[in-house]
Parts: sequence; structure tokens; C-alpha cells
Amino acid sequence: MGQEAAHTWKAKSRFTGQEGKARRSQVKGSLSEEALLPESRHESQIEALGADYSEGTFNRHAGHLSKLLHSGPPEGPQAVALLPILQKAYGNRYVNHLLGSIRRSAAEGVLLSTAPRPTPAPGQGPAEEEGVAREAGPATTAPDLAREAALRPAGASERGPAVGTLDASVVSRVFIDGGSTGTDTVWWAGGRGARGNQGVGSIQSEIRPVYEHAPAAGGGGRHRAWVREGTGVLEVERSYVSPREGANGNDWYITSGAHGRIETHEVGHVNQSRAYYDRHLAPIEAAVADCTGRAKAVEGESTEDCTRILDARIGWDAGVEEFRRNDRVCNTPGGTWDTQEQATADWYYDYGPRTVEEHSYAHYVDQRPGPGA
Amino acid sequence: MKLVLRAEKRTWSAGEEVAVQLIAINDSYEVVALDRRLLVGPNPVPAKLEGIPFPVSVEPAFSREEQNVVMLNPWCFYGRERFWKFPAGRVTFYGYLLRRPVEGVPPEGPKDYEALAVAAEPLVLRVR
Repeated sequence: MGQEAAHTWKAKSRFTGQEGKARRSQVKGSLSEEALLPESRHESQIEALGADYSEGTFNRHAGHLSKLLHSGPPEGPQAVALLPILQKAYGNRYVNHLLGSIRRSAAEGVLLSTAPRPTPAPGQGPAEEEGVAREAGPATTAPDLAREAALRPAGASERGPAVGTLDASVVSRVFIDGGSTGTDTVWWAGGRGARGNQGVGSIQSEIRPVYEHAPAAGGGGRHRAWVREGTGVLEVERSYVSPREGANGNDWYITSGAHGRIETHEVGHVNQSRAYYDRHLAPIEAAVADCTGRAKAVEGESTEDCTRILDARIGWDAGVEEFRRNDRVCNTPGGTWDTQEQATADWYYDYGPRTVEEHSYAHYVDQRPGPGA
Repeated sequence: MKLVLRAEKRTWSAGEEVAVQLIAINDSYEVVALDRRLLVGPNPVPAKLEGIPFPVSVEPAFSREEQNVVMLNPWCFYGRERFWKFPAGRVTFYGYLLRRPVEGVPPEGPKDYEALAVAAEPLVLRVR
């Protein structure tokens, strides 16, 4: 039974990977045919800029993307086609970092001063060009790329199976089910096994929405506001370290059945986080997508009124706080998920001292009915 | 029946083997039959868990039913000792005796309170 459980978990991980792939295909499908046509040209452009994870390549990608994003038609829409290609090649987190970097540079006036002025879209008056940006809150908490690359296990992809929604607003929104990232001695025996890799309640990448305002096209003192492209990004990742099956140090022995049950439990933690993500963060992301870009601007009496409308529609702070709180209560070690699981019939037990293959262990961990006296 | 959790000392060093005994004492004047399968503990619950909970302590069952029952004369006892190593922090130990088998046995006691025969007073130890 335990082996079955472990097998089920592995199959689930693969499914998640496929699901992520399918989602990426959907992203592609959600873009207009026009935007997708030059894909091969974009791929060759990316290759020309570099195809590694070096800082130089990152900066070249950021520069190229920034140029496209700060250009009006016809170059502007190319960024929409370029981003999914970068996401496929480098992963969502990489693209988040790119967008975050561009946003920070723009806030510092670096790119805004060198990029060409946006060309107004057809039907938009000159007044709309004079948009002013307003930070909706503290700066991004996206981790540093170099630090993250250093932390990434050798040979491991940063991409992972992505599950979530991505849309043509060029912002990636994801819950990453990282599954098991490796095996180590169970933490009861001093190792890192049977532990999560991320803090409970944590959000791995959080770029608050930045609102841009402009007077309404029709005049009359009314104003419009929208979320700036590349902001309003949330990324949650959950993964864990598996314990070893069999000997875990000198004192602990975990049977195949108990090991499978522990794996199932850890997958359950990830699923619980995903459920809170779906409940509290996905609606935020949907609201951000609905308000991103000039074309999806809201209109109000004043800039403050527009800000109030966007704040209420997106509900960023309340949703993020609810996610953090519920994830903490549920997934904290000894929290509600652990408590609920401990009361199940197939939980694992410590059957005490036992000799296995001539080695004496102080703790033999197994499922019921146990090893027999 | 009375259940007691015992340890040599209240404060231990990190990395030191912490030994805790759960003892079931027949404190009556009659003979009592104790089913070893219904004695649960000692169960450590560190104040700060780092991962999955420690497993609840039970013991293997014998294949012949009568071998699982221990007859206790008045003021005689049956018990179980376990050793662990803990990181620094407070650890609370629990132990209890069930009236009947139940599906799940969390460390502090069964979900079904009616199934609980007797519980030991929790034992709190410090690891430095």
C-alpha cells in the first residue's frame, strides 16, 4: 500500500508537469495569430542575445524586452509574443525577474529617459500620453536572480511544473508545485527529510500592482487608471524533501509503507497551499489581468477615485493576507493538516526497537498492523 | 489504572538521548487485564516542529490474542521506554490507554473521547 502511495505521488508529479505544459500551450493559444507569427524570429533574437543564465544574458534580455515594452505599435505587441517564448525557454520566475528589473529601472528613470515616447494607439488622444505612474505599495520582494541561481540544485531546472493561469497581459501568474526536491535523512534523525522547503505562508515572488493614471479621452474632468504591465504578479512555490526509505541514520528505520504515507502527506501539504492559492490569490490575479493595460482602464471622478476603484476590484492586501494566514494555520508543522492526518487509520507509528538486517534501530516506523512481535 | 510519564530529569542537552517512560500502574486492589495494543505513548510533541510530526509510540502485536494481554496484580505495573534526540526547545510528552481500538491515535489522545480509558499527565521537558 505504501509503495502504491509513493507511486501515485510520482505519477501525480508527472501529471502536474504535463498540466503545466498544457497550460503553456494554452497561453500560446490565447495569443493572437498575428502575435505568434514571428515566433521563430523571436527565438532567434533570444538566441542571439544569449542562451544561458548569466548576468550578461539576463541584462541583454531585459534591455531588449524593455525596448519592446516601451515602444508603441508595431513593436510593442512583439513583447507579447516574446514573453511566452522566454517563459518556455527560461521559466516563469526568470520572466518575473526580467519584468521586475525593467519596472525598477523604469521607476529609477533609467529606461524612461532613453526609451522612445509611446505612440498613442488609434483612438487615444494626446492627453493619454501624459500618464503618471503611482506605486501601489512597497517595492517588489522578488528574490535576486543570482542568489536564486546559486541556491538551485545542480542540474535542476528553475522552471518546474507550472500550474496556474497565464494570459496575454504578459504577466506570469503561477503556483509552482515543486514536488520532492530530493531525499535526506528524516528530520527526527537530524536530517532535512520530511520537511518543506518554503516557509508556511510565504509568497516567493510578489510584485505589487502599479497604477498608471491619465485624464479620460473625452475630457470633462474624468480620469482613467489601469495596472501597469508586468506588475501585480504573485508566485507561490511549494516543495519538500523526502525522507529515506529504510535506514534514516542509526536510530530510525522507515518501512516502505510508512515512507509512502509520509510522501502522500507531504504532497497533501502542497495541495493545501495550492487550494489556498486558488481561493485567495487566483481571484486577485484575475482582477489584475482585467485591469492591466490602457485598454482595460477603469474610469472615475479623479485619480484618487480611480485608485479606490482598482484597490477595491483587485483586493490585493486582503487576499494576500488571507492566503498567508490560512496557509500558516493549515500547513505549519503541527497545524491543522498534520492534526487531521494524524487521526487517519493509515498513519505511521513508531513500533519501537527492532533489528533489521542485523542492524538494531531504536525506532521502527511502520503502518498498521505493524511488524508483528 | 494510573498512567505516569517519567524522565530522569527535566532539562536535557541538545543531542543528548532523552529517555521517557510511560508506566501503567494497577492502583486498585483487584487484578487488571491490560491490552498492550491499547497503550499509546510516550508521544513527543516538540513546541517547535521542523517537519512532519514524530510518530506516535505503540508496540508490535503478538499473533495469538492472549499474548497481547498482560495481567497486572494490584500495585504492579507495565511500561514502555523510548529514546529520542531533540533540537533545543520544549518538548511535551503524552501517553494514554484506550478502552477499545480506534482508527487514528493522535499523540495527545483519541479523537473519540469515549474511547479514552485513562491519560497520563503530560510531561514537559526542556532541551538546551
